[in-house]
Amino acid sequence: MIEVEVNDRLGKKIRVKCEGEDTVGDFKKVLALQLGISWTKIVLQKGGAVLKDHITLDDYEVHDQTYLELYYL
Amino acid sequence: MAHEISLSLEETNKLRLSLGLKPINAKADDKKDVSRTQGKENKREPNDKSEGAGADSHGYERSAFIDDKVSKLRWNLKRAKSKISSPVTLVDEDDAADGQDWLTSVGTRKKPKRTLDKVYEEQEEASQDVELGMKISHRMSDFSGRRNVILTLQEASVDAEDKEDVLVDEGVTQDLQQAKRLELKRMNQDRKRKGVGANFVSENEDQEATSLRLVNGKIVDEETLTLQQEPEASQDNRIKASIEPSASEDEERQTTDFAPIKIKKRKKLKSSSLSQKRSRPVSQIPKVTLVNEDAEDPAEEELQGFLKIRKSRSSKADSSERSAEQIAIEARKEALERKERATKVANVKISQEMVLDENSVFLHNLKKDLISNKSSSHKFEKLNLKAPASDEAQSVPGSKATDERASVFEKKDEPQFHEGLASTLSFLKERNVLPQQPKASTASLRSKDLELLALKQKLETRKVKEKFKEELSQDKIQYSREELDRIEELQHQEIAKRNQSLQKERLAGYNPEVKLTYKDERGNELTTKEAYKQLSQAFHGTHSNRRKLTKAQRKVEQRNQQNQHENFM
Repeated sequence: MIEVEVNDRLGKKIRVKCEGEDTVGDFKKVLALQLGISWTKIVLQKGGAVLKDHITLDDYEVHDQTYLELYYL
Repeated sequence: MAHEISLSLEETNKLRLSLGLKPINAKADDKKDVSRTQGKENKREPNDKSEGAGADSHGYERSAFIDDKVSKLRWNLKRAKSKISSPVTLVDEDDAADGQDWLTSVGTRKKPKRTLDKVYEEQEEASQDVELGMKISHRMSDFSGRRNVILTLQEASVDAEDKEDVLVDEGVTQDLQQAKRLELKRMNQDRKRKGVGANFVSENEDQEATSLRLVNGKIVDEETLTLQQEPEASQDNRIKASIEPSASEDEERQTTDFAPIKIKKRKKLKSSSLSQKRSRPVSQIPKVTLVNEDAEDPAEEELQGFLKIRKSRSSKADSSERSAEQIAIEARKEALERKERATKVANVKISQEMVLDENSVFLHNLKKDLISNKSSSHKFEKLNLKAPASDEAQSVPGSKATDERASVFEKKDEPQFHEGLASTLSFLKERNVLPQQPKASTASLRSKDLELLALKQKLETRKVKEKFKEELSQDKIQYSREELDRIEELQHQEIAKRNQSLQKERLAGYNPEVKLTYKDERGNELTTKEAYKQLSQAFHGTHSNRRKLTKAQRKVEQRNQQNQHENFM
């Protein structure tokens, strides 16, 4: 299990527990449920690079305590 | 401030289940984490041992940190710090004791040896029996200023077994290269100033090569070695070598000096050679033998000759066979034909307004049995009989002539179209193909009618006039002139009334020459061109610009004025 820190820099900072082999899409779904919004309406970035839905967190080298930026569409 | 949301593992698992994702197994992860940390500790232990008391002395306790990452980071930080504080980490303990008074030992031979010791100890462990002697490609002075010197094996080809291993300090070699480059730069600048001829003696040449060797972890001058251990030299696996400048010879060559620049000139392809290439050798051109196709075959020639002879013969025979009488007969015949034609043309003229046009009536009359069908037309036989009769009357009577004429008429039974249009016409008349001058008849009819109508009109007018006269005479009243005029007008009106219908009848087929005139809105007459332009512009919904319009208008008005002027004149 890893815990990823997601910040929208608008006043929300969410810690999401997930697995490394989860895809970004899955991660987004969990995150969206926590936020109470649609998972299709958010964009995640890691160091300015947009994360694509079909790729796993491991592939993006998202580890425990990784900081992800959250943007709303 | 950021509002941090964090769900517990159970809650997230619920969410994941609701999404159809695999729940996170916390226990397994914990175990993994534990194993991971343990592994790390295990890995670190030997490191710690090797590093000796250095790390321990800083009082580093890993167990204090729960978080893996932070602990790792701290560990790295500590390590870096320790490195900075005590640079002699790789040195043995007994050496480390010496290391305390390193200041005093600056410039001595021991220092480079110190760093190298460990490496060569390892090597000794690997092959204890073999005494290693490695060449070092630097002078002692190079090492004197610095403490930790790392020597690496100089690159050499694998094949060259004879070559000795040479130790090189990368930093020093780089410095040397840099220095050389600078020197060369300086030389170039000098050369530019003083001219190419100036001689320079490179400092490298001045430098004396001193050879150092590494034996048993100690750096030794080769000279001393050779002096001291000459008998041992053969036993030791040592190879003599002199110190060379670190850079390889090739490199030196490249860097040293002005090599004359070689520029390969591009060979110009001569145009002549090109043309030669293109032009074929003369021998290759196939020789064409000219064949005169007009030249006759012998056989053909024969044939032609024969034909010629025959032709000439036949013509000759014709000419010879014709007698003078025959010629006379032919001439007469021709003359007769001409006469006939003339008479027929005259006939046609007489019959008036015979127009041959390709209307349907004419085509309808053309039948298959036109030529053979002569019996039906009796009238024309009479006509034909008439014509010769008239001819006879006109011409001087002669037995011969009459006979010939008879023969001609006999011939006439056959259609003779070759004699010209007149004969053809006559033939057609014979067969009653041509309509019986319908136009002429209709025209005459029409003219008669018109005459009749005119007469009727006249009659009507007379009647009206008489009526008026009678009325006037009956009344016996003296009319004033005005009244008389009025009566006359009335009379005219009456006549017009009465003649109206007749006039209409008269003018039913009235077809005078039509003259079209075009007028614009202002009543000016336009030429066809201008009128067409107006029409087409109206049709297409376009119009010319104001300037053009005014220009055209002016033109039209000018012309109109001219016309009027001419009319007045």
